[in-house]
Amino acid sequence: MDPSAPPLLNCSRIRKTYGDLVAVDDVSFHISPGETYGLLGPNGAGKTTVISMIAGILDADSGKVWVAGEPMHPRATKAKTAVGYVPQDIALYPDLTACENLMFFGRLVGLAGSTLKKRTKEVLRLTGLSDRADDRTSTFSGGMKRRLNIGIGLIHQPRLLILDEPTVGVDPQSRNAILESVDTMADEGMAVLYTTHYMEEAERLCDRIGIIDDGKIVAEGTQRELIEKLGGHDKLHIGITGYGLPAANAAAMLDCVIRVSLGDTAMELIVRDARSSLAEIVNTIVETGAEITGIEIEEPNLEAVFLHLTGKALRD
Amino acid sequence: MKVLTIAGVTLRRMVRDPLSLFFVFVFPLLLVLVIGATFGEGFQPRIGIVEGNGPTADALAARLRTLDGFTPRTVGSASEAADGVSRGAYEAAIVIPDDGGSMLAVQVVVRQGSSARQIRTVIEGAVAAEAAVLRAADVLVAEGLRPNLREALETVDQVEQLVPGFSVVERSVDDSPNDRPIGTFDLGAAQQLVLFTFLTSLSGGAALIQARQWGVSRRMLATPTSARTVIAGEALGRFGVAIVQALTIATGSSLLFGVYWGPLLPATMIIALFAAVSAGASMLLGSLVDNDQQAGSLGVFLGLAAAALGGAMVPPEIFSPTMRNISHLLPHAWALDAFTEIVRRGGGVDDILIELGMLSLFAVVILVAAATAFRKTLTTS
Ligand SMILES: Nc1ncnc2c1ncn2[C@@H]1O[C@H](COP(=O)(O)OP(=O)(O)O)[C@@H](O)[C@H]1O
Ligand SMILES: [Mg+2]
Repeated sequence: MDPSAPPLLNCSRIRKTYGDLVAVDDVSFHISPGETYGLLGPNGAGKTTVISMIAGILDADSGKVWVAGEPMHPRATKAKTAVGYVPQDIALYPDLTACENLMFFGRLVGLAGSTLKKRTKEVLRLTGLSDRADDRTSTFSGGMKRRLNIGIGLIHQPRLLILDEPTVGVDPQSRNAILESVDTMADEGMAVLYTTHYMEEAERLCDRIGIIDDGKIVAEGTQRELIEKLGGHDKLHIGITGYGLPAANAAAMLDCVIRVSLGDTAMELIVRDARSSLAEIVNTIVETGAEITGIEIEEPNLEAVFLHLTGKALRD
Repeated sequence: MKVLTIAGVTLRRMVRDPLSLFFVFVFPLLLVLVIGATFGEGFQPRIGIVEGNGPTADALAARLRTLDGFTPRTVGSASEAADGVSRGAYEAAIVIPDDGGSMLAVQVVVRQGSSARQIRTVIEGAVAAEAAVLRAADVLVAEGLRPNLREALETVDQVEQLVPGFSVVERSVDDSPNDRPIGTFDLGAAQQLVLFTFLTSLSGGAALIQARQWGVSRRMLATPTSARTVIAGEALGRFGVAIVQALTIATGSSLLFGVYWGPLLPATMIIALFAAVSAGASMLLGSLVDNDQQAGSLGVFLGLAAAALGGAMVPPEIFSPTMRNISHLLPHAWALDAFTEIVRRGGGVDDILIELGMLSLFAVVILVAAATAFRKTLTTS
C-alpha cells in the first residue's frame, strides 16, 4: 500500500433516502490502492446501499463517487470497468455451469477470446472449482456458490474489489479460504472494500475500518485508532475467595484502576493498560488476605467500540 | 456484441431445460403430426357418397367424382353413411337427396372435433362450387336457352373456360380449395404456429423474473453494460425463443408432413413480426409479474385465451361477424389472415400489407411497453 498514491475510490458525502427513511446519510471515505477498507455495521446499517452506489447500480440522491479518477454513476461504463462487484446475495445462473457463468460475466466486463479463456481457468483454480467447472451451479454447495460468486467479481482483475458480506452462511473452512484470498488480492495491489457485521473479520482483514450505523459513519480509523477512542481501557475479571470487600477497596485506591465492582466470587475492574499494571493489582489484592482463583484480561475490541459509540450491540 | 451475449444465455437456458425442450420442440410437432396425418400431402380423406336419383343429383355426384383428391365410395343410404362416419370408416359422407324440390339439400356428415370441421369446410366448398355450376345450368334449361341439363352444363363449363374472370361460380367458391388440391394446405398448422409461438413466449417470460430473483440482472448492471444493452439483449433473447418455436413448427411440419406455408418472403415476414409481438408480450409479462411460477402458469393461461379469442383454436368459419371483429384485437387474427391470403390464394407481400402493418404496430406498441416496464424492474430492484 502506498499512502501517497491518489485514492482509488473516493466517496464524498453520498446520501440515499427511501421515502422517509434515510438509508445512507452523508457518507464519505476513500480507499488507496492495496488497501482493504472495512465497512462494519449491523444489519440495516446501510452497507449494501453504500456499496450499490459505489458500484453504480444505484444513483445517489446527492454526493459524488469517483473510482480510479472517473465519476461513478449508473451510466458510467468507464468507471465500472475498474470495479469487481460481489453482491451480498449469490448472483449466478443456477442452470448454467461454473465455467459458463464466468464466461458470461467475463464477456460483459469486456473480456474475449483467449484472455477470457485464460482468466476463466485462473479464477476456477483460485476458487478451487476447476474440477466442477462444467457442472451446473445448482448442484453446488453453499460454500462453492459463494466462492464462484466472488470469482465472478475477480474475472477481469479489477482495481477495486467490492465484497458485500461475502462470508454470510459459509462454513468455517470456506470462510478462511475466502479471507485468505482477500488478503492475497490486497497484497497484489487491489483495493478492497469489504462490508461485514462480523467484527473478527474486520479486525483480521482490514487496514482501516469505518463503523456505520443508521446510515452514518460514526467512527473511522485503524483498529488501534478506534480502540484508543475508548481511552485504552481494559477489563479485568479476578476470581477471589474469602472476604472481598477489603481487596476491592484496596484495588480502588490504585492509580491505574478506574472502577471496581464486586460480586460474590469475583470482582471486575476497569483499568488503564491491564498488562503493565497487572502485577501491582495482584499484589495489592493478595496483601489484603484474599485468595485469587483466576484472572482474565479482556482487551477492548471493535465490539466494545461499537457498543461505546452507538449504545447497542453489533449483533442482534 | 454484449446484446448477443445476453440473448445467447436466454437460448442456452431454454435448451437446458428438459421441460421447455419438450414443449418447444416435441409437443407442437406431435400436434402437427396429428394434423399432418389428417391433412398432409398425399392424404386422401375417405369419403362416402349417397347418390340420389334424378338428373341434377346424378350430375352433382358425377362432377364431385371428377375433382382432384376426391374419390368417394358409394354408400347405399343416409343412415348407412352416418353409421360409417361414426364408426370411422369414412372421415365424412356426402348425402345427395333425390331430385324433387327446387333445390338439392345436400348433407355433409362428419364427426365432432375440429379436424372434422376442417374436412367439412373443404367438402362444403367443393359441393357449393359444383352446386353453383349446376344451378347456372338449371337456369339455362328453365329459360329455354338449352334443351337439357347435359347440354346446359357443357355450356356453363365452356363459358367458365372462355371467360375465366367472369362467373357466378368463381365467386361462390371463395373459400373452396379449388386453386390447390385438397390436403396441401392446412390452416390448422398456421393456427398451431401462432398459438404455440405466443404461448411459449409468454410462459418463457418467467426467465426474466428468475434473472431478477437470482440477482443476475442487477449484477449485469454493475459491469460496464448499459441498461439499454441489457434490455435489448433480453428482448433479443425473447425474440430468439419465439423464432425458434415458430420455425420449429413451420419447418418441421413442412419437412415431415408436407404442410405448405406459402411463398418464402411473405411467410418469413409474418413469422418474424409475430415473433416480435410474442417477444414483447413475454417481456411485458416477465416485468409485470414478480413470481416466476405464477408467470409460467399465467403465461399458459393467457396464451390459450389469446389463441382462442384470436381465432387460433377453432376453424374461422364458426366465428360470427362480431367474434371476427373481436378476434382482430389480437395479433393472432392478423397473422392467420395473412397466412390464409398467401397460402390459399397464393398472395404475395403486396396482398398482406395491411396484416403486416397491423402486426408491426402490435410489435412496436408491445415492445415499447415491455422495455419501459423492464427498465423499471432493473432500476428499482
Ligand atoms: N429498496 C429499498 N427500499 C426501501 N428501503 C430500503 C431499500 N433498500 C434498503 N432499504 C432500507 O435501507 C436501510 C439500509 O439497508 P441496507 O443498505 O441493505 O443495510 P445493510 O446492508 O447494512 O444490512 C434498511 O433500513 C433497509 O430496510
Ligand atoms: Mg447488506
